[in-house]
Amino acid sequence: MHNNSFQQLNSINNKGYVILDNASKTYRARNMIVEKAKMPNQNETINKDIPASVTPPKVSTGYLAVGVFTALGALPVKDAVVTVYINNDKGEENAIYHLVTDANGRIPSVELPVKYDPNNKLESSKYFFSTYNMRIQAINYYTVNVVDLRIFPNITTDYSVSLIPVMSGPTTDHHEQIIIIPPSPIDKSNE
Amino acid sequence: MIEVIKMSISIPGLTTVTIPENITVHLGAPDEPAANVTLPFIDYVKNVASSELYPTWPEEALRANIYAIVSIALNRVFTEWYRSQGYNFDITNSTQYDQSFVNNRGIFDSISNNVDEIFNDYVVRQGQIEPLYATYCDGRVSLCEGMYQWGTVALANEGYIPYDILKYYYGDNINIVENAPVGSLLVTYPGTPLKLQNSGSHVYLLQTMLNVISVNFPAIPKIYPVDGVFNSPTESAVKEFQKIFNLTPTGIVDKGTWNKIRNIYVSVRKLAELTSQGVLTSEIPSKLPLEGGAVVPRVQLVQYFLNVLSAYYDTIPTVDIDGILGPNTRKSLIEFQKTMQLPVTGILDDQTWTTMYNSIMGILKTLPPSAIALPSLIYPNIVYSISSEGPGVYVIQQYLTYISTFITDIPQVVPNGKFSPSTQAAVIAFQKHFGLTPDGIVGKTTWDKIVEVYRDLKFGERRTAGQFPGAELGGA
Repeated sequence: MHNNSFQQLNSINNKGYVILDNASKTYRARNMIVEKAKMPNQNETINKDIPASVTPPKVSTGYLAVGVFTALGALPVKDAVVTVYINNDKGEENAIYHLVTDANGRIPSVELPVKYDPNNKLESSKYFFSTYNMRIQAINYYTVNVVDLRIFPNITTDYSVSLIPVMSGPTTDHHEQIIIIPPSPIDKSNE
Repeated sequence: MIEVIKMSISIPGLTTVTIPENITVHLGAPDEPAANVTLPFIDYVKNVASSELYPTWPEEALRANIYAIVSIALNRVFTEWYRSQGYNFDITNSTQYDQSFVNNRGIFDSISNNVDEIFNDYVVRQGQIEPLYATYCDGRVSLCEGMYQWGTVALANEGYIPYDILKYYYGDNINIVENAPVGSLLVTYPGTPLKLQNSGSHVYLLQTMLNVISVNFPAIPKIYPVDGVFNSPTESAVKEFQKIFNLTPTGIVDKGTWNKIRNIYVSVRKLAELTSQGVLTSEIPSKLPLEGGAVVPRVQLVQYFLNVLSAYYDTIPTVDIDGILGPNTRKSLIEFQKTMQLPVTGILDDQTWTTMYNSIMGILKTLPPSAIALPSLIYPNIVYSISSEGPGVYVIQQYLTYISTFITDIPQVVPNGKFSPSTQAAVIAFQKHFGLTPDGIVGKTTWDKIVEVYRDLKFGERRTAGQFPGAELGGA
């Protein structure tokens, strides 16, 4: 069910997993309005230069499902570009997937590695997760950024993203949506 | 064996515990200035559970916690905890006061599946009606007189079922009320899954809802005829719906699928009502009452715009289009200003109007022209002519744009709210076509005629000859 028809990056840098307190970092997102010329190619897999040899050991797999809609789910948004990022140890984003929504606003299910990070005080060896960022861009809509979304082993995290049409006339950037997934209240007691 | 009361609790004339269709969440502590978000109750529970719990916990632990989450939310609604104190929300997302909620977050499938099954089940003390305020805490760092979240994991690993976990923490004198009715104008879940070869009114409603949804979601095949029989086309439509909304594509309509279909149907219909049907002329009083609020010429349009915006922003409540700038319209206006990060004045000042107008224009740009329709607005007592600007001009242009697609001697105009020479030319052409004085000025007569023609073309409110054989046009 979760087979992905799009090739994932051949590897993920094992230093690239999000570390503690990323949720509180300032997120400087741009790309408020997407112009057609700037849209990425459909279903593009990027960052191909990362060597295969750094694939982290004992990585579990989790899944990300995304539906892109507008009018609070009443209308699908076709041709929206969903980009999934992983943060490196400098807090920089490395894009690992570009996927484009179909006529129903959906992208194929995305497989993502999940690895226990002993340095992350929010995780335990039994209950752990990995965090990713995601950006959803579509022409005539404000960009949505999701920061620190959590992927758990063998669990699908489903995002129903509701896009807001861009206002006509002069625009300011405060209408871009940034959804920061905060730590869970139980993280502090995850031993 | 779990003890279950298989009925809702209802004392006629006194009280009934029903699951609200929607719940309004304040995104902050009660007195903190923050937005309110209104969303379906089931989605709220999924959000809280995804925020409070790890999806990799044992299922029994997840379910025990979900019962508690539902019970707390229902307790707040049932007792009107916040509303009785004058707040305009049902619950907060502050863990200091209520439970965690992260607006627009992702939902975990293991949690979603369980919530689908038990979102309208809740805990009560035996002999009591109100849902239990089922206090919980993590049980490691913070302790409380209630359920320990990590304790539920340990108990589940020891083989406890959810009801026993709940009894462990809340005492033996609790029951779980199952399948409480969902407050709605729509028919609630039939109780058992709908599948191939079922028939009846629920299947009929299911087919109707799926056909309405399929207007916006083309992958869902149309079901024809809509006959209340769960046949193969119905199953195909159900499966496709389930795929689109990330449900397991079984083709069987269980409680989760039913409620998802219903929620999407409500959204689709709401948008359709705003963009395709508009508001019937008869719904707008010809004489506006003067008491209860100031009558402002633009208010109808503002109310309509607020309703369109409410279809896109879960923070903006809908209002009645009555032309009165009363408390509800002002409340919606305030929420709009908060959403747009404007100064919260509750007044339609220039900045608010410009932002609203630009937002609407942006929305219209994303909709196909055939789907755009304005309500039948009564004449705002303003004479529009060359160089006029404002919402009335925009309305005229929208009406004329649509009319010009049928009557080709009326030139097309681009709606921009400015009465330009091209707008004037379109008005003159319209006036000529319908035998009015071709002065290019839109007063009451021209306005009313434009609205009438528009409504005729858009919705066929008036019959035309031969449309209904046997009925005489204009007859009694």
